[in-house]
Amino acid sequence: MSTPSIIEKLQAKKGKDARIKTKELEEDVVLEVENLAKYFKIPNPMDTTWFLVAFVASLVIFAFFKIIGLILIGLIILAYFIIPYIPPFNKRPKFVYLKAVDGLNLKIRKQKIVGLVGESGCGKSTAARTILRLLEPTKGSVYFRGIDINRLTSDELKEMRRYMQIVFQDPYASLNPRATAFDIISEPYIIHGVASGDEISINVLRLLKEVGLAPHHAYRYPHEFSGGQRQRIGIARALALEPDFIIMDEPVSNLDVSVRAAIIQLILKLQQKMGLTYLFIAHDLALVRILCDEVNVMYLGKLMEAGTSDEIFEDMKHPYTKALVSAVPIADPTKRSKKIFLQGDIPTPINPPPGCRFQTRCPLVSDICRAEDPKPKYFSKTHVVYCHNVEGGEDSPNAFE
Amino acid sequence: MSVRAPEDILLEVKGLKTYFFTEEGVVKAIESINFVVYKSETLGLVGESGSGKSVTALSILGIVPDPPGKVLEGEVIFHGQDLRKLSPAEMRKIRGNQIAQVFQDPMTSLNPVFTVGDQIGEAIILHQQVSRKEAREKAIKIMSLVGIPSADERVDNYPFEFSGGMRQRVMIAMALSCNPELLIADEPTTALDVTIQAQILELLKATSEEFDMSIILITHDMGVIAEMCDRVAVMYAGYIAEVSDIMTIFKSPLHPYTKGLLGAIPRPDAKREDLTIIRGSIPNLINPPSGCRFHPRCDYWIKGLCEVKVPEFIEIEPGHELMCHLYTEEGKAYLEAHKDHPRISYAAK
Repeated sequence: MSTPSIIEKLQAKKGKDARIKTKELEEDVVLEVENLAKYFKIPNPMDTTWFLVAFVASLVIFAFFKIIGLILIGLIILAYFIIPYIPPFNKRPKFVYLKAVDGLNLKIRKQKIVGLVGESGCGKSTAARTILRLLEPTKGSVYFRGIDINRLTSDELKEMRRYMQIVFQDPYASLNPRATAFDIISEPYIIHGVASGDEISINVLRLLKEVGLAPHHAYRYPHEFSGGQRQRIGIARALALEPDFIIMDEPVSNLDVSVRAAIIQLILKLQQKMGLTYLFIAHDLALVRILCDEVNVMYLGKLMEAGTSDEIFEDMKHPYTKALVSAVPIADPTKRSKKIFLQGDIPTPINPPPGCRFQTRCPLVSDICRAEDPKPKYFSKTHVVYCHNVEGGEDSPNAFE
Repeated sequence: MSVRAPEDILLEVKGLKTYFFTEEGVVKAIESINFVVYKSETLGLVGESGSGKSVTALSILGIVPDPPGKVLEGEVIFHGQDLRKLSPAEMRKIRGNQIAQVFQDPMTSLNPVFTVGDQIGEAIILHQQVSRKEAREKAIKIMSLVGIPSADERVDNYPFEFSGGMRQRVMIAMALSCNPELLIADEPTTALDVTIQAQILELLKATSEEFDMSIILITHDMGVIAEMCDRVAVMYAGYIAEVSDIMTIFKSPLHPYTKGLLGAIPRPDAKREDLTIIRGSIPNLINPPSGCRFHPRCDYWIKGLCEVKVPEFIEIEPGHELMCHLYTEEGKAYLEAHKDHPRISYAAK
């Protein structure tokens, strides 16, 4: 290559520029997420009911006794602004935090399909967007080929994005309805200035063919396509810049069963052909089981258990994983299994209590779960469990070397 | 599973046909549907979106939005009487009382401005001559039965104060309030998470046993079908492709669409490579394919027959019915007559 790639440029700056943070990754690790967190700051509104009641009452008084009424109104308005600064009311936080992702650790190895599973609201999609820095992370690092992308400037980040792409869940919302398939797929080339003119046309037609669409589809608009075809366009767009790593954010959950299988086959074919690495986000565990090499189970913003597909589905340790896996309906009437029922619903991630996030629904909950965050326990080099009540395990994956 | 006696039939649907007359054209949502529901069994109605599952449910209940929809032909025989011939007033007595329904989205099917107690009680007051107070008592009882904790307090809550799973429990409580003989559950767990889905399915299973109630479970999830049902009807584009008991459908399906559908879902011990594809996509029902509506996607398309003639709905063995030219006399005769042109598989482009 004549011009050095952004990664080479950044590696060269290592040590000279304090801003660039790097980490020596294991040889086959493409991306490592370290302690990543994304909090959403939400205003904590004051309870204004009593002010309103008092205000209306003083308006009524004002109608009969002008001066007393006016004084009351004045006092109430004054109180409204002063009370937040008087103890004990000044202790009340102005903002609360929705901890969508709270300390996520992932290691994504080359040419693997890594699953990230969990129920709705557990922070899967936020994690995906934060890893790509489509959302600015609150803390933590994401090392892509050894470089922490959370410390890059926007120009550097833009160049880095060539190597990391995303396919979104909703093929209806993620394509511009006013652009043709050609426009959509050619946009990455224009933005990154890597091709022009005929080169773009050749590439777009090649990509269309690659994802199973015909050349005449290029000049159609998204509404003229079916859901499966739209998802193919989304995939073509992600492939345009020949990335190494693609996040698949529930790429098939909005599609019908028969179309779903076709998209999965396409995703697999492309991985084999182009040597891609996927982070596959899904809530369909039956699919994850057969598709993914490694699986990470999330609950309420935190990782519960991670391991290879076999470790998670055959030898799971965490009570949440056990319940989740047992709850999945199996498409085989001879295998109607005994279910583990979890009590209640997922609590809100706003100001979660200390300790394990799963404590409110866990069948094994004990005092320590309410007090302390569980430490990772390793059962093999890849299999890690975050639970106080699981016996055994090592403190570090290095124990298995 | 043995075939059950005709007197065990609770509901029989014969030749049901429902079209929607829209501005874009006539949507031929249901062309011809035949099935029976036996007493205290769970019948699964499975198919992809647009296969006519929900329209079937609406047609049975007589609540197809009209206009644009219209049930054109067919009989829905419940306890010996044709529901389609009943007057709206007579139908109202049956709906919610003997036949109850649970819909997919519990938020839009509950009225946001009434407490759940009022809404459950409404059906009880309407169908059983009881006072408001008794209805409330009954509502509390049924709410605790469906697993809503501290039901005597929750009865005065509004729908927005419940989570998705709890709302679906409220919907089920409402449906169960008059001890129905048949429950039509239209995708009752699609909007829910797996752990909640497992709770709701277990609840449906337990209540159907307790009340000796039949369920028509409409879903697109073969997993849910495998967990819940005694018999399955596979729907495709307004027809029932295949009906059989659950073991036959999963172990030895005959219809190419059923085979394709089962190949397209991740089975527990399958490998990545085992996932097979059904080519093409679901047809537009304004202008559906001629003949068998599945023929453009079928691996076993018999050229000259499948696209010309709609196959008959035949019983291949007791309790196992399907609609495919591969198994009809006509299809077999046609294949025999055209031996020199062996069955031509549709060549994928």
